[in-house]
Amino acid sequence: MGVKTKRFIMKGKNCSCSMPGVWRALVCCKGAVVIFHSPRACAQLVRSMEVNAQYRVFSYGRKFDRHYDFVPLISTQMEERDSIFGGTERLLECIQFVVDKYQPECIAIGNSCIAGVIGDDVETIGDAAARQFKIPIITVSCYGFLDGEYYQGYFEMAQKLLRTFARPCRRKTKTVVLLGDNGGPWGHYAQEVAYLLNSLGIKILGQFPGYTAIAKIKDLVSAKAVVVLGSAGQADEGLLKLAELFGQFGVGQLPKGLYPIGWTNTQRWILALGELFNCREAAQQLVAMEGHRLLSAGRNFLPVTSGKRVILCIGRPLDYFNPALIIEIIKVLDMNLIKVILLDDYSNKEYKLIWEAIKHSTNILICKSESLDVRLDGDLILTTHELKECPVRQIFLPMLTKAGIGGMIDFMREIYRAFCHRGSRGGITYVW
Amino acid sequence: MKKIAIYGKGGIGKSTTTANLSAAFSEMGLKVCQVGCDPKNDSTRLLLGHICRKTVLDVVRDNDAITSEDIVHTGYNQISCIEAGGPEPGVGCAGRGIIVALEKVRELNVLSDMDAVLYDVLGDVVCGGFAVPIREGYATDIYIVSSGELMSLYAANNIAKGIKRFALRGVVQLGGIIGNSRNTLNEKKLLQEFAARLNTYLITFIPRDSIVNEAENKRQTVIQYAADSDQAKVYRKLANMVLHNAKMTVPTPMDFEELEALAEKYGSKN
Repeated sequence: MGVKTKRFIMKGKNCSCSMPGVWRALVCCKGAVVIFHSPRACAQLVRSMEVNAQYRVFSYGRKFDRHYDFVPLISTQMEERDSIFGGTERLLECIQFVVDKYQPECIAIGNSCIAGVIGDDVETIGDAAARQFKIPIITVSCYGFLDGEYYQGYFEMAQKLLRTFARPCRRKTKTVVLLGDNGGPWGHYAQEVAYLLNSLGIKILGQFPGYTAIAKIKDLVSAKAVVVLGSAGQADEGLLKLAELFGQFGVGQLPKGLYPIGWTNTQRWILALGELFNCREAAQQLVAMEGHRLLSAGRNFLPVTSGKRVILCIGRPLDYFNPALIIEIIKVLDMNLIKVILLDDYSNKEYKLIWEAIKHSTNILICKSESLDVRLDGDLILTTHELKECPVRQIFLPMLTKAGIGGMIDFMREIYRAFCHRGSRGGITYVW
Repeated sequence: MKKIAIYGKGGIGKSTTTANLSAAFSEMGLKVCQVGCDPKNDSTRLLLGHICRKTVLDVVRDNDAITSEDIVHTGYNQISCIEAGGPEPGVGCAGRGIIVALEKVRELNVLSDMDAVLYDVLGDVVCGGFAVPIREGYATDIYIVSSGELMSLYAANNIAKGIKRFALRGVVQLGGIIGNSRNTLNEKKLLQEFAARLNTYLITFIPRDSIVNEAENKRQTVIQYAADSDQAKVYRKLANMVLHNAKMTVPTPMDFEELEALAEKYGSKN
């Protein structure tokens, strides 16, 4: 009968246009104001993103840090008449309003599809206003969805921010800049990385883009290295280009593509830090400590998880989902991986890549979801897509992978809890 | 009500032809309205005796509430004149402007008691906005003004493609080609064959005459300026044919190579 999913989102294409990306690149940069040259409704998505981010902070159980106030977002509120006669006058009025009300150190402008369609010359207006008001006004070349999507706006704005404000300066030893967002400074990834860096005595100068005050961006290039908060997917390429831009100021970086995700990579990542910052011994000690942390946490769960039969269902390309982390966790919890099911819609190339990645970690049977003899048996299913008519409890694997040993422990706890729930049939747990 | 749209290459004489048609219709006793669909707002100049000073979009830009008196101007022989207007060159979106202006005209119901409405539409069909007169059922009878010059024929052929697209829905049809002479070689014969290839006909051939320029310099139609001239008779004849035209067709546009060959066939002295 095969395996069917409830909804199948195969590609990691973004659903946001370039404007939220522009906003995200300055989301908590004190001193900045973001203008959307757009109809009012275009700002609504960012409003939702901001509210979600604030709830996320609360849900982590930490008090919101006042240092990370969100920047004001102003829409030019383009209307029908602007779409006919052009919206540049309204944009200029909006800039004047922002300058009068906020006295910002920098204004960033995101452009909507409508501004692009009618051909508003936002760059020229921005340049003229920058001369008039004597503050940097940064524009991007992308218009809404016309020239790309979220990451187009995010990375173009990030690069322009760095080029505008960074100046060559003296290197500060044992300092880093966290590069990327991945949930922000209060998110699990940045928190886990901060913990590991602190354990090695490495100071974080800031997180870029988005979380460094405009006045402090110039200091970021004094860091010895950037630490990319990467995992996989679309963001990685842009982050690596950004790291190269830091490199032009003499800022180093860890080996490309090496992130503290999963035990094996976390070890390599810590040891690479030891090399880069010349603290090899401390790095080896940290590796030993983290290994102990992982095993002792795993031991607490073993009475419930040991010997349990698990199926892994994967429907994302290797660029967006590396199965090695999950397979490592299955081993630590002493569970029995009985099969891997690859959900349909893979291209031949994607299928080959994910197949090879799985084979690199395990020799277990790999089936295709459309095979009629595939059965959903076992005690638990770990899946990237919710399965239809599934008699076994499912755990939905997150898009944003958690970093470090802390991330692995959180994940193991969810699996443990899934087994502890009353009853054994059906249901799904979402891990975030 | 006769609902007519005049298309053609920029500068080919659409506004002059349309204004003279309007004037001729009004002489026949019809209640006529001419709607200029061009941001330059010069379509009704010959009827008003000056460039329209208040277009629909001028009014829309400044006021939320507008009335028909704000946008309808009275010209020669009580002809109602409306100019859609639009943005300055190089800014905004004129096509969107046409859409909004025509919606506003419809909303104000200013055309309901007319016997004939003529839409004079900018140059080529440059975007969806300029196709609105034929797309949204404002006009049902389409005429293309063309000379025997290749680029004019090329534009006319492109317009025919647009008309075909909408004609297949059954609302609009092509009424014919209005030949506006530029004194090119074998021009009339060329236009006749061109029209036949487009599955239509040359409804009239307007000879080149300096009286047209004289009248334009006096900000008048030929019918007003030289009512007894031969040129005025041509426009009156055209108006009569348009009014009683029964040969409405769905056009069959040519490909460019075919068009080039046609122009070469009649345009060479050999």
